[in-house]
Amino acid sequence: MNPFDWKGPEFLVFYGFFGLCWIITVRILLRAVSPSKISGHEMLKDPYTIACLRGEEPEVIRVAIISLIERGLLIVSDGEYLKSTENAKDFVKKPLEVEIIRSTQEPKRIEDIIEDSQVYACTRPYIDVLEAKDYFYAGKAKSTKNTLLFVGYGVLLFIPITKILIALNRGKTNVGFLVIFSVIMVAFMNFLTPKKITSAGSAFLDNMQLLLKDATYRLRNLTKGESNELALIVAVHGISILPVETYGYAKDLFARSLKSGSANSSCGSSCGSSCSSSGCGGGCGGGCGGCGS
Amino acid sequence: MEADAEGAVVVAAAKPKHTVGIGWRPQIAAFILENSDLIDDIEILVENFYNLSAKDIRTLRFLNTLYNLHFHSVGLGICGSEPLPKNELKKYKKFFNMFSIESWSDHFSFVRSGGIELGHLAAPPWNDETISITLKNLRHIKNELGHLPALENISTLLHPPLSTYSEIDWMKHILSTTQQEMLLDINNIYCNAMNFKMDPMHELARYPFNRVKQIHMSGGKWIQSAHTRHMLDDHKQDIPEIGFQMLKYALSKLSQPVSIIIERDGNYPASSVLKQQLLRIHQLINEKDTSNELFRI
Repeated sequence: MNPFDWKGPEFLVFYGFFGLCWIITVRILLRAVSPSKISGHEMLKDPYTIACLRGEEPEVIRVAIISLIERGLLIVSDGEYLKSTENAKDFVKKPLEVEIIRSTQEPKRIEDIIEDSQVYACTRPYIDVLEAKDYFYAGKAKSTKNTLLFVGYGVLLFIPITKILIALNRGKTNVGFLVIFSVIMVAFMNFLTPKKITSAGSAFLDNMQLLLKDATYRLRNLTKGESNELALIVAVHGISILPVETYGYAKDLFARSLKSGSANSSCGSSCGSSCSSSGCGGGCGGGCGGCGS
Repeated sequence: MEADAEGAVVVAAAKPKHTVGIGWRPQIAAFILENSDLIDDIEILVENFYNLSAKDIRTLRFLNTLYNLHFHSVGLGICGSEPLPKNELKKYKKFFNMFSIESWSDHFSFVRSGGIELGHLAAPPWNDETISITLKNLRHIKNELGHLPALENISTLLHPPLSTYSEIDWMKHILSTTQQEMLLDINNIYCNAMNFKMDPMHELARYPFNRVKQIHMSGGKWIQSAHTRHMLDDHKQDIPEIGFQMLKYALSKLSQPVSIIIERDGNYPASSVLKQQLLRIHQLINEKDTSNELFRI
């Protein structure tokens, strides 16, 4: 009954079954140790932190850009270039907005703004806030998660490696399927593993998306630049929430910018990392609007 | 304690800590969330949530982490002669098993007659018969749910036929019998005063302020028929200036804290307009009212 003595197909079935059970167990344990307490009143006044929660650094910059455009401080030209208006710097205080205005003194594409290191650096405080609130893994929660993952991947790899060593020791070299299968198992576990966002962060975002599920009505009726509501709605849902008939420029602007490689990579980082763990499919789909196109 | 210019000692009386809120409407959810620093309370229409789907529960629980929740219902028809629908009461019971019944309010109204759901709040005749019907219904609610809602004065275009009391005396009679709290709707007082050609401030002054737990603020509009003009409290207009003046008066009469809720059900204005209304209420709450606040010794 020693599975390591089993023949190839039988062992693959055993490993597949054991591996899936183990991955689910690790996922449940990760969820159990993930911070889950929601406390978000102060975040309501800060859409950029919410954008960061949904799509990390690139999404903060995108939401800031939309907010600046709507406040009349950035102008879209040729559908894909952004330029700050004269004296725009006098109307912004947040370091991120100041840097975006500086960065766009000459017309620039969104992907170039996102890659501007000075702009990017200004997103760090939003990460810090999320880590302090336990919405992103940090400190003890992060080390607990990493320990669990270390054990998780360790066990997942220990079994095939042991079997391969035994097989090789017995002079058998037909281990290709097992190697491929092991890689698939590790990839699957990686897919199900939360990257940055904790259960609390995920729950906060899900709840915000639920509260603002009918936000399209409001977006159609907002007075330009009058409030921060647009930034809040876009931070929660992503750019795809913007009604085309009212914010047609946004679709063109982001669709064009996301066609390029660098934009795709930023999209990858924002969607891939946060959503795989949080189940915030709706939010990321929006944030990366145009990823698929 | 401090001395004024003439050397008299004055004592600052504790000012009740009123709170400000707004009715939860998905259409203005972003406004509500974005102005969370101006909003303490959210009023939830029970009937919009009492099916308690998983989403309903999540929405309310999350909102409750951000604001104080007040529950408002429109479907009971407490003053109606027909028995309160058992199925409805069950739903309320289930709802209030999950959420606090302490902050529940309903209306001095009936909503069904002859088996027909009217679809709006109707004023009953203000007479002894409806007083006993209302008291009977309230006893039934107390038995079923273990708690009574604060009751709100409603507006009406017609003076209810067969009335033998004034509206306020009729309400006072019920409230004093049940020792119940009241939700004071400022615009309903104003509408009724306009519709029955009375002085709104004079009418307001007759209300039992010691029972008021919550205040509603809203705006209505004039509706014109062939020969008459009536004020309809449609909740789709901005709060009129007279509404703020009436609130100021009400606040000067209150010694207990109340929650002041803006009701807006449509024709949603620009954010700046809604925000201005919230700010105005805050301003009225914080206004120094020396006649009320300081007692000369």
